[in-house]
Amino acid sequence: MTEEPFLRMEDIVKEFPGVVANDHVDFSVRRGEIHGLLGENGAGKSTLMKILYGLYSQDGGDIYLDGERLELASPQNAIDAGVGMVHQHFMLIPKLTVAENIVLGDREPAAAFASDGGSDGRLPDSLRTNPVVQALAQRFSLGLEAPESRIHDLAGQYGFDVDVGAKVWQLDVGQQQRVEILKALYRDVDLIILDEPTAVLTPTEAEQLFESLQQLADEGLSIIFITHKLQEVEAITDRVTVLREGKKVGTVPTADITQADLAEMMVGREVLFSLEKDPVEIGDPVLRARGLRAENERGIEALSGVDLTVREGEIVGIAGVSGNGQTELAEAIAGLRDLTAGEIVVEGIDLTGASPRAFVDNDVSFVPEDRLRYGCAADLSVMHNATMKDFRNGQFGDGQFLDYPGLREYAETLVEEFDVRGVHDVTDVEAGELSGGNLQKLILAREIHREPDLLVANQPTRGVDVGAIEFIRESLLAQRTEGTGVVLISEDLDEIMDLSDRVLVIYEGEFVHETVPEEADRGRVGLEMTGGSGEDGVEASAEAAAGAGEAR
Amino acid sequence: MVGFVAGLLDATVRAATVLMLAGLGEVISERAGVLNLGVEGMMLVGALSGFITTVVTGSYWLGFGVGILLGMALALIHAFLCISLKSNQVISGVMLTLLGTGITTFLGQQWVSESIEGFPQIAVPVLVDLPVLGDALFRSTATDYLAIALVPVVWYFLFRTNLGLETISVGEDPEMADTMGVDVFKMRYLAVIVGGGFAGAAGAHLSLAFSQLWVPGMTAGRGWIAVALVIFAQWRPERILVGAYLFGLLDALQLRSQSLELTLGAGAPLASLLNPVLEFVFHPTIMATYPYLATIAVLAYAVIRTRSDQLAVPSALLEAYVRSAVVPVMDYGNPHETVHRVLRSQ
Amino acid sequence: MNVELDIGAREDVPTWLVYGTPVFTVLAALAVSSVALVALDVSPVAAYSVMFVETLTSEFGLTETTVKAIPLVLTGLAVYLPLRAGLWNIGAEGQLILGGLAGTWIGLNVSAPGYALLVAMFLGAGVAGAFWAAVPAWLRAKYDINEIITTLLLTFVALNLKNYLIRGPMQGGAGTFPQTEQFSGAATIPSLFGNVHAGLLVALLMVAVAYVLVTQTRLGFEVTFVGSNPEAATQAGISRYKVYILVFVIGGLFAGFAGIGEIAGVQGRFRADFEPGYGFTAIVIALLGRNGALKVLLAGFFFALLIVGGSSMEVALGVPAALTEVIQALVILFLITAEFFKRYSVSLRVDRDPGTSPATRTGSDA
Repeated sequence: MTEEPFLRMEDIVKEFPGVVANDHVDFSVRRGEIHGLLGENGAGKSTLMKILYGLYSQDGGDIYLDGERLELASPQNAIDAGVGMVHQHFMLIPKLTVAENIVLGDREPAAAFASDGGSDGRLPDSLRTNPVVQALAQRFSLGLEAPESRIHDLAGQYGFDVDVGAKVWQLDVGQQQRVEILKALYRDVDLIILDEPTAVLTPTEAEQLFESLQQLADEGLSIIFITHKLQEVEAITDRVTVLREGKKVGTVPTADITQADLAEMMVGREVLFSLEKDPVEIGDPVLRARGLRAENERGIEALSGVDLTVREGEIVGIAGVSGNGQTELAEAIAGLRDLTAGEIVVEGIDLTGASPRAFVDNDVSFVPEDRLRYGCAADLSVMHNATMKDFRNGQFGDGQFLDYPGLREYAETLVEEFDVRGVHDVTDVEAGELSGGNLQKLILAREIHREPDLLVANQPTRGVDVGAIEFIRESLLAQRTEGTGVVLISEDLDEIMDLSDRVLVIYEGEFVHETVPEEADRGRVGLEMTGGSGEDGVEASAEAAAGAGEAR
Repeated sequence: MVGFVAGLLDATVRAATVLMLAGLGEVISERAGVLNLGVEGMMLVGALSGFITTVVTGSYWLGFGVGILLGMALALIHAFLCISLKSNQVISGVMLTLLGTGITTFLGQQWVSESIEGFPQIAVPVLVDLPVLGDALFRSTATDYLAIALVPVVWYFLFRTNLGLETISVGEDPEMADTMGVDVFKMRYLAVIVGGGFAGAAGAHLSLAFSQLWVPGMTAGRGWIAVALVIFAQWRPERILVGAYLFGLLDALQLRSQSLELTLGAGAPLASLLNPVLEFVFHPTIMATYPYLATIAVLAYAVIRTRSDQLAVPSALLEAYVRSAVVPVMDYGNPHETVHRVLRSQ
Repeated sequence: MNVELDIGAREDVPTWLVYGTPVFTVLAALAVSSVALVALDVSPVAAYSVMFVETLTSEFGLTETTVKAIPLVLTGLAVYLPLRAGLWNIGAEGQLILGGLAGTWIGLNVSAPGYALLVAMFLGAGVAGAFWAAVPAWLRAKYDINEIITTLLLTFVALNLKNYLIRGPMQGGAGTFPQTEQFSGAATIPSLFGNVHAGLLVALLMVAVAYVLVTQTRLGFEVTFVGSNPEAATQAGISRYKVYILVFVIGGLFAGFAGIGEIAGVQGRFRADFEPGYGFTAIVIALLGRNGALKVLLAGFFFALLIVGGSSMEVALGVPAALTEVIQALVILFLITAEFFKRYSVSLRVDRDPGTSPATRTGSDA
């Protein structure tokens, strides 16, 4: 391991409309090093790495690899320079074989036409090296033998257990990830970026991945490991760089720092909004959920037996780093995701397995995290979106007919009461034309105005301007005063602490810690969120990651 | 009976060639992610242009070539609309069928009474004397042989060449193919145009070899059957061969089923009960529905029984590709789909 | 030098583009078609004046256009309603045929007093059309099987079924012509004025029904929502299953009405060669009128005018009527081309720095 950095990114600046994603970031990686890149969502990790992989171009700053300045206009440039990336969503075609996925785009001719001659002497050299013959062979033949044996060798070298002739759909997720890594290795990269690679893996698969990565690093490859799990940083990385709000907080050798310090670097302490929280009489349970289990889109268990009780006038804050089962939990208690086990009772009515409509009818309101995808119909008017749930309500006409002037009036009331700006005419302005904050206010207005018994809000303030954030938080508190049971899911720890009556920390689909804001130890909560082992140690969650650490 | 079977097989082979050519072209186009519902129109254009060329020049090979070229020309419009303008593939295809039908009817009227000397039948020595199959398979036109020969060629192209691999990749995941350096637009254009050439060839075969005359609308829905055939064959060229013969056999049977005694003898048990059923089932026009019903059944079976990531249908079929992002096909109710910024803007 | 084409989604569509598009597309289609006319030595001005001016100014032309518009508007609605929910009904033609067959059977085999027979015929036709549309709708709602393919294929099944029935069990009348018996007076739709039969009232009524359904009812609200964002609709507790089935069933009903209206109002009997192609023209009509039932009505009349004008042109100038098909196709062609410019703003950028040319593919690097 040389001290001279292999990769240097200097003074990187990248702005998106309204956000500085990377604010003069310096970042360097040594040869043969596994370098952790740590930060919350939106801290700028992905942006920085997309710049390095040629997907974004920086507004300022330079990138040097092995002393040479890089101009990266596309991933192709990055790969040619020796930088590979393994995305969270695999870039593989399930119907093709491992080898076909890897050689796609390379135009490898059949063995008989291989330009280096080699093993096959069936064709005379003069014919084989003829440019026309080469051009034709590259298009109208396909040589998989040489690549297959090379992939096989690479796999053997790093201890990957992958059948090169298998179709990708036949492989499990861990193997697919190894194919992604092989794809980079096959193109002779010197540096691999792994974007939250364990997010899709089981603990055992993660363990295997760590072993492979260690081997790659021993062979001299540099690895950038994006994560927000402290346990993983500790288990696998040599050094770690922490980003927060687009700025670099620092780079430290992993051995020299405790998890608690890392958590603090990552979460930070910021000036809090001061919010008046009136004391509220907490009433009967609104939601009683027992043993909830659910799977994510890939069919992997994302929610592993969660109990959750929410009472009238109570805000239960769910803290955690994204991807630990929050989305599945929110959708489960809003009736949108099928449970594999468990039961949900709302106001004494068993709604386990009921339709989304039953949840709506039983006064469950939901603010989804993906506003545009689930929260609204972007090309319909504000009026349509404001009344998306309440149009069934008797106040808008009997029978099959709808009182459109009534809907309009109702929408206008919501727009006014919740200060949704940019709406001159509720029937003319489309929801998709509103800014993020105003759209969120509209959605919140719709969900709150129907006087729900239970309000589930997932990331209600993400991507929303400061003014709207304050408004939304106050609205949630007002709901609490009205006696609604509120489930608030957020990655913003301050928000959770400010608003909640009770805080639950979710990690890998389970609640690992419960506290109340007044007594909460922020460092402890930060550790629990990231799977770090606190003083008491949280057995269930730490086990897997600790095991992975030992495996080294 | 032997004579009947031989005649039936012969008709099957003739009927299958058209479907095989058009079906193979459609496989290539759909494998690249572009549905072509304009086959019927491209076939008609191929049929008429090939016919006119042959009448004028006397060369049926030249006619065949012109038919292919004009099929490609029509496909180029489809490619431009669907790939460059990201239009709805269904609408564009239906439009091209309408256009092809209209133009050929409009321009073709004066050619109806013309006669040509089209592709002659060529007998393969020795093999043609085989019993039953000999005449059907080995006394055929050059285009019949060509269609059969193209099945392994298309199979080889798709599964054993780099261009084939790239074609499949742009039909499965254009975004991924793009990051791997595959030129998505070029591959899709190529596939659609080659597919149109096959449709043009199918049409030219129809007018120059199959019936050796021109009648407006002479494809009689065979283009639509070809579209169905591709689904029936689950997008595999070798199954196009089997499917084309199967659909061809149904076609041939339709004309002959009446001469077959497919009912039970009057004395047989249950005759009075079963005979009306048999008559219905083997009625020519009822048999004509079987290719469509079989296709729906195969489609339904595949969708219900197969995991979604293993479905034979190309994953990006009907999806337009915008550089660095796949956007859903133009949805006329929904003009606000997210279009990611062109990432390479610098 | 590097030329780059930048394509971005438009946020707002300029008003002139919204209203100008249909006019522009029609004019462009006519302009291109005039090439064919010139090739036939026919003056485009004369041809188009026969096609439009004479058709619109003569009583004959007007009534013919109205009669033609009846099935076009109804099948247009049959495509329009599913389109509102984001689904494509490519098979209105098959639903029309099935409706015609069922209505014909009732007309020939049932006797009922007064207008009851006609009502029964329309009901039977509607139910048959609805059934034919319900199959692909169910396959889509339940199993997510692409409705474009199934509606299309079922159309060809319907056409063959028609051939079977009209040449077989339903064949009747004098001789062995492939046709049914002539309808009795009671089974014939009475004339409204001139040659225009009362099916016009049905078509107008259905336009009103579709209009009210989409803009005034709860179901219409749900249909609009599902068509715009099915996932948000599910979140709101709207059943996609119900919406998908209903839009197709109602659409099929409209197409069935179109079938029996044409048979009992114009033809008088079901002939085996009845294959009007309205169901395919309907796709274009629904596309042009996708913003509302009233626009479907207008588009239906426009295409009726095109078809009627086309045949007058054939009679007067010897121009083959197939030209109207070409014009129809060209209208669609220009419509979808214009659609692109409506959805995307395109700007061309020329970059004179050769260094940023796209990475060139290296040959074999094994």
